[in-house]
Amino acid sequence: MFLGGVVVKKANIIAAIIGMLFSVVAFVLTFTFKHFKNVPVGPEFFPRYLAVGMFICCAVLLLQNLKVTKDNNYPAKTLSLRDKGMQKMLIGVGIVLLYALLWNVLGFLLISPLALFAMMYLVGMHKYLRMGIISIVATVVVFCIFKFLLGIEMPMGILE
Amino acid sequence: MDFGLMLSSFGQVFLPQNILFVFIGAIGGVLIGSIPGLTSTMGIALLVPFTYGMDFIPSVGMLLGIFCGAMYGGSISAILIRTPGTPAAAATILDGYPMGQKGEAGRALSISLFSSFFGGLIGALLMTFLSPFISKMALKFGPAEFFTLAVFGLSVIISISGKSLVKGLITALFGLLISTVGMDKTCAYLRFFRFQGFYDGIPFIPALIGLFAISEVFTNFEHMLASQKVKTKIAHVLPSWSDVKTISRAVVTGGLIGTFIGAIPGAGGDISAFVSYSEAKRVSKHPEKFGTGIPEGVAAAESANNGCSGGAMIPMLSLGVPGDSNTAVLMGAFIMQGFQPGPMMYVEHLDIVYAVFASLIVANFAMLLVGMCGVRTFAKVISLERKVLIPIILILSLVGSYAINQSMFDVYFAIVMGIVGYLFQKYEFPLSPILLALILGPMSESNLRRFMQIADGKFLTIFTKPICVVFILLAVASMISAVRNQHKINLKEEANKTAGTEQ
Repeated sequence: MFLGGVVVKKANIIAAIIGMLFSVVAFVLTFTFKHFKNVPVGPEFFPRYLAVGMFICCAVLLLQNLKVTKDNNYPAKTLSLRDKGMQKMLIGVGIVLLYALLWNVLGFLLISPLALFAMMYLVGMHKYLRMGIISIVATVVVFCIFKFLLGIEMPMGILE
Repeated sequence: MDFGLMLSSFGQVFLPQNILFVFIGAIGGVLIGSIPGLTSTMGIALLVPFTYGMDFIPSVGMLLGIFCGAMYGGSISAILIRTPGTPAAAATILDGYPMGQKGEAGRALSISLFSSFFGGLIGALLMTFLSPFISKMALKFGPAEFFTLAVFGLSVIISISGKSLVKGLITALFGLLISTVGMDKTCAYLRFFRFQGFYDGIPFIPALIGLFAISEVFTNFEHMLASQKVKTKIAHVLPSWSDVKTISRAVVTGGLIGTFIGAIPGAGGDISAFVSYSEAKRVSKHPEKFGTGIPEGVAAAESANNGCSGGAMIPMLSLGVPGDSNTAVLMGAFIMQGFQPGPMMYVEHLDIVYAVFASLIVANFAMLLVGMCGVRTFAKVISLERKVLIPIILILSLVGSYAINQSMFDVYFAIVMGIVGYLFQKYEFPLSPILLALILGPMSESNLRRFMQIADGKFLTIFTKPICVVFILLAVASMISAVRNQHKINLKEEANKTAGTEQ
């Protein structure tokens, strides 16, 4: 679907266009910065010129990849949603995001074993008892180190 | 040099509780280094959050322990399974793995440990005696000199850009651009985003945890590397006297080469190990035996990559410019503890500087002892189940990002940087330039603006300052040599490919 089965040439062109758009947005935003009197180099100076530099480099990358060369004529790594690896990676990111979002709701102690278990399952482990024990022990060890040894206030969620 | 103060600082490091933390770091470092895919930068980044509540000396001792330990640890998997645990151990494969294949894995590991220790010690001692002189010179620097120094540091990006210079520059400019997010220190003006989490700029530790640890976890979700079983038995922990005599020259030369190459910003352990290896081969009476499994090959590579650890600390401590990605992370840890590395540190916190010197020396001894006692155990670590390790690294990364300010914003930011790092790596954009840019960006901007204020907006007056001219010339020379080196590497790769096809 997206970047599935393309060569590096096309992937580089897409990356260059994304970089150019990013730098254009940054460049335009610098004009919204406040102008300070009697300041030879204001807060807009650095980001503005960096955005110009980034735009030029992205344009060079784009131009370099308009032609097929030996450096860009091999398959790019896929971002296709049909790829099994990509599906796993996206599920993994989903688990990580959900885990982070639920930290304050359920608390570190409740949500971490579930997240660990889910991630171990995702990467292909199927020894459920072992996975359960590792999830609980790892959570308790990490919690104790940060809470009691380092004095960090860990999010407790509903256990508070 | 204030030897009285030096002795008292060394005494502080030699307290049992501080030595304990150096040992914990060394154990962690060797463990991380021996597992392929886990780099020393990632190890230090993961362990930085553990130092929040600690005093400076034990925390820096622990981080230096990881740094030295990981440099040695990389050789274990290089020798046993032909996979360098860290990029710095790539040259160790050339002779280490053939030695293992000849049934001499124990001998190779003992030579690697001995050479790593002496190489590291040479680096630490040179750092102790060289960096105070460099920092004394740096005390004469004004904003213009610091700006050009930062430009010199940034010029190094080219040498760490990998295959594509343009991609390296794009990631560096991306890093510089995001380093301008948040409060502008000169005019106290909030740039780009008005989130509270960005008031102090980009959260540095969450950014590097995201780029170097979380991105690696995401890559492993997609393609999990299989763990390899080690079947070799390890008989020796230290080399025999005849081996010591054979490798002594390679060890000393390697340690010196490693230290000097490490002191050049951007040139890390991998480059120094290869340079030292080719130097040992050049001066050897039997260069044809290199690559077939000889002790000098292992010694040259390992002493150089460990010598690099001391070398990379020289510009970081004396100039405030990190020598490589490891020292960039270490610098972040120093700043977190309230100490800004650079020449002023030698004036305001000389005791701390001496404590860092002592910690690096102790870290090398800790690495030696840990290596001697645990080499058989560490050899088994290579077979550790990555399916368990990767999820635990993720949890540690998120908790580490949270712990610095106890803020959920930092956790979300680390995840975003993890996704950015994953995509950058996937499409061959190097990550190290971002790290260097995040450190040197604010330094170059604030000093340029200060200089322009003093010079009344006349930028060209920078060329009337001799130190600035020297740094500008060094930056240009460094860029030209990096481009030439990359060109040579590309030509060599091409020749190798052609030779492979013809065969």
